[in-house]
Amino acid sequence: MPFRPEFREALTLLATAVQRLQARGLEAPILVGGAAVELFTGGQVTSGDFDFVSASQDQFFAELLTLGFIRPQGPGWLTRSLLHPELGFGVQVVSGQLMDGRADRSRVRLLAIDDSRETRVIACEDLIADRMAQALATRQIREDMRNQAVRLYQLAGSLDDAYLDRRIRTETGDVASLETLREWLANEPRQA
Amino acid sequence: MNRVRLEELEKALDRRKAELGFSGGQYVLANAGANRTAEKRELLEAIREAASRAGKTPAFIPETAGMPKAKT
Repeated sequence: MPFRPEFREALTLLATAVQRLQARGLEAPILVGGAAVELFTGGQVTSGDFDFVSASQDQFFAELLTLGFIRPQGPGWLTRSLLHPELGFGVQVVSGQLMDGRADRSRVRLLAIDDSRETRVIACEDLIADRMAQALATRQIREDMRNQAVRLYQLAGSLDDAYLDRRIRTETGDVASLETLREWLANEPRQA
Repeated sequence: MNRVRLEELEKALDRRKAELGFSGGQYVLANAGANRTAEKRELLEAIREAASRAGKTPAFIPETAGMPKAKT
């Protein structure tokens, strides 16, 4: 199943803003969250917005505003969000640091949209660890996050198991490990 | 830094899905939205309203639909 056209178009616009930021000597924002899950599952989930980690939110938003994004109408405290009214998606800067500094930034993926534009995306290992931490954050396991962690693991094919194990242990406070993820996989129905 | 082209990633994922026997769109659960911040909910509502004004349906699944059951 190909990526939906709106997703491609959104990535192209976002990569344009990223390219302009980098041309000004600023660090590129990193795509995280649900849109990263959409990317690494080949469009199997549909995200309404694109979450980024960026230490340069003001400059990033200034570039996005020149590309057709607007500030959402409504409460004045929507300070971390923009939306694109024609394409129907939003952008939110969720943090200034990737996983509060616990993720290895050298593992961030560079996603080339075309010959001149690229954007950075959280490593799949870190995204899986994040989903597992969310799955286990409450007394009852969150099925959506557990399922996403398992499917990301399956679809990634090749991952750094040692790093993945370390990141799962860190993000879950040693409640889970790579072994936990493999147990979840063994119990996962072929189709959800 | 590990670099990949969008088209290459898409092809690799298609191959992997075929190897795993995945088909259709029922094997990855949508985000139920349980951890959404107030600002995230407001943003998604603003997207819905913008889509409505444009006579469109937002691409994402509404927060109230398809909430998966939790498992102990």
